[in-house]
Amino acid sequence: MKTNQLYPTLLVSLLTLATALIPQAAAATEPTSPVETAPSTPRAESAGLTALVEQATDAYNQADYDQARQTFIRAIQIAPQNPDLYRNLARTFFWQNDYAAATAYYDFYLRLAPANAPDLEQIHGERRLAATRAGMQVWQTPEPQRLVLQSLNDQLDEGRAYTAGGGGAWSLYQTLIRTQFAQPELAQLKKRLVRRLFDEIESQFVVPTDQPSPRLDLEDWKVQRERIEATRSLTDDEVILDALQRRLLIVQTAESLLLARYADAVQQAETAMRNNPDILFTAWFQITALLHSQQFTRALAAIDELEPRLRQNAPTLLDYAQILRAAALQKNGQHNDAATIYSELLAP
Amino acid sequence: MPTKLFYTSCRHTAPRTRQTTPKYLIFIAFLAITTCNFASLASAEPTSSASLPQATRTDEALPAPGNDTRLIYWSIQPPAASANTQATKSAINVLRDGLKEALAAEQSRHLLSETQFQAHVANTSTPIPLCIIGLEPCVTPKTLAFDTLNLSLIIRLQLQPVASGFEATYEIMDRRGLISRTGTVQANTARTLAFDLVRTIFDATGTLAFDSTPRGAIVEIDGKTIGVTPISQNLPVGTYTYRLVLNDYEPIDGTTEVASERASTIQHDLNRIPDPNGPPESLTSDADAAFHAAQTTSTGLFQPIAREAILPNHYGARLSYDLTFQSTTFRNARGEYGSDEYEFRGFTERGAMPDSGPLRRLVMPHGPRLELYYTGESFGLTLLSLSYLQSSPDHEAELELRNDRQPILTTVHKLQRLQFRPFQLTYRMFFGNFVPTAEAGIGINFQWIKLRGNQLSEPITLSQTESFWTAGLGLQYFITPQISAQFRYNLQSYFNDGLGTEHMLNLGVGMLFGNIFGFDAEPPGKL
Repeated sequence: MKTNQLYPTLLVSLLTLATALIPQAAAATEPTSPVETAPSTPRAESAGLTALVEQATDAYNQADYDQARQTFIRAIQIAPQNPDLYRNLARTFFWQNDYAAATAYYDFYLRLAPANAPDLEQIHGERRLAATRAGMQVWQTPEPQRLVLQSLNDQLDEGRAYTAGGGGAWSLYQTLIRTQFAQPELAQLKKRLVRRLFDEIESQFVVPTDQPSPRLDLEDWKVQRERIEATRSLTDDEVILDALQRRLLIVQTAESLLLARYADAVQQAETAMRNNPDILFTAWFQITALLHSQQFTRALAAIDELEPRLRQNAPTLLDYAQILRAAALQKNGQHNDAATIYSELLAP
Repeated sequence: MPTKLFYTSCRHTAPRTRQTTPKYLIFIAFLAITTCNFASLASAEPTSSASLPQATRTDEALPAPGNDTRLIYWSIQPPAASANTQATKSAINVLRDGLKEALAAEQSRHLLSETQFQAHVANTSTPIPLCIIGLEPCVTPKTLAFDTLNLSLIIRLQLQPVASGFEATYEIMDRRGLISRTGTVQANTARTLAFDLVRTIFDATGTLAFDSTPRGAIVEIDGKTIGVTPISQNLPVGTYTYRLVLNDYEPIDGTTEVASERASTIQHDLNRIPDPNGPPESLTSDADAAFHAAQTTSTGLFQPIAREAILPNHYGARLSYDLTFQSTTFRNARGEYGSDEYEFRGFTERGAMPDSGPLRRLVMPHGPRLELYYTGESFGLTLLSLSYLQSSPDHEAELELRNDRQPILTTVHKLQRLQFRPFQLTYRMFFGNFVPTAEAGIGINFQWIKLRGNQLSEPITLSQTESFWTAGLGLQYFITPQISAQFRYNLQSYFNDGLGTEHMLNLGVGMLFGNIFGFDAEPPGKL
């Protein structure tokens, strides 16, 4: 690898590593119990935003500009489309004598502020003054942020949104936040990331036509849960949040099943099936959980309910239902009935 | 504590020498090896050994049977109704007994009747297939039924009486659910037929085993999935195509032959597909230093500059250089020398003025220009534009003394101009760093012409003052929001027709200032 290619790679690498070591970034990757769900939501963030703005304003009014700057940056990261935050951060930079940064953030304000904002004239004046004092200095997106931003955009275009261990675009987004990136572009990045995460979540539920269930093991389901929680932490779109909540029920069912919490799995599967009528494979989870919890009659009834749906939507899977039926009959002591089904399955 | 839904592994036993083992027992042993199917998936991990992606195949004698439990189900069908006599039924029983005898050593691994099959189902604790909930790739339901019942083969026999005794038509269904072999065996007696069947069927099979690095690759034989590596499959002799597929690795396709009584192992090292978005290659711990790298830098020559950054800079000064081209006459230029007053009559050619009218000569004065201006978002006003131009032409010309109209032949040897443009309206548009401009206004030109000649004791200077209108087009390139370079073309047309029109090329550097007069307020101290 050439030296000039190595540098950006190294930089993004160390930023990613640093992010992984930070509790804030790692929060969404912490394994949690399937039944303990308390992800931070944008609604919670909104409540936090008010407190942050108050905290930043107090710091500004007390001339603690370093604290004000850091807090306004955090506030912008939560609400990147709020113009007032950019204005206040610009003023903070101004009093820190960082006129180039102040000028850039006045520009962000002027870009986002409504055309009839009452303070436009005042801000134009403040900006001129900052620009004059900046002289030849022009603020630019810092190199680490630019590199992470580029990697994030690449990942959002062609890569994975969330991978095991909290990697993928999600990780780069967290790294970007860690680098104190606070620009209006963050809003669009967030939207794209949410879309990609949601697509990835949905793609995990897609089942090949000849398979009963998606090929996911316990670790995959944990990653799926983290992916859902990561997405929930980034959006306040009610439609998406509702869909995520419904999909989370499936994940909880799968995790309970694979952790041998069969009673939980049976109960959760019913809720998941009721809330996700478009997802057929939850029925396989329910039947498997019923068989493992020795509820053979209920399992046979569930197979009876499943078969018409299979006949309509996935006739190639009907024989798998027969396999489970034979297993249920066998475990229920109906050996000859089970043998008959096996004989039919093994017929040429 | 309930058992977790994880995997069981398959145990292989140590091989024994082939000479001590009957062929069919060897075959049965390898049928058992085929039980190593999906269970190994969970433990599939990449190994550290890396080698070229080439297959290695090893053929070896069949090992002896171990503690394997894979079963063979013999489904013995009665003959067609017309031949289904009592004698035939009796022959079926003899055949079944003969099979028991022929398979005596491994009889427990053969289900020779439907009753035995039902008993096997009753006694088998069938696992719930993991593939149903996505923990493994699901094989076909038939294969799943084979695995669930721990079967390796189903041999279907149909017995027919023939002239020379009995004929058995057999078909073998393997774990894939395919009829992999059919045949016919004849013998004098049903018992002999049983022994011949055992020999014929078991001699005509071999074992194909697959392994890969890393393990866990899905194995397809003739397009049918049989499981994941490592896996062994008993197959009738013949040629097979196979495919190994593992996520993130290049698939492997190949062809192989299964020979009778032989166990072949196909080993592939899979090539990982490079991940363009993979994890970074190396890490350092100096993250914070990188985070806090200097955020403010001076712009380079080609850094993009936002329009918003340029707009607040309203006051400008520009220093540039003019190069002008003008075909002119200098008529009416006047001057004094002592008590004499002179007037420029016109250029001459070979000492005489043409009759056709005043002769024009090209002059190219050049020099610096200073401009001060104010600009808004699109429109601006040049408050001062001052040019000093000069050139040293060498043109013949004629003067006259104003008092006696006496012509004097001279040479124009120096031209100096001072041009003042008090008001020019400008318009600009933004295209990134490039800003095209247009301008128009009026101005006044002061010029001094120095002439010398044999009839003059000293060179004399004539002067002239004329007003003009001017228009121009230009292109600015902003290097920073404050500094720009500009090239433009101006046309200056004199209201006095005799002086003609000036064409000016101008190249210069400008500087813009924001709050130059200190009018702008500082931000408030409290929000």
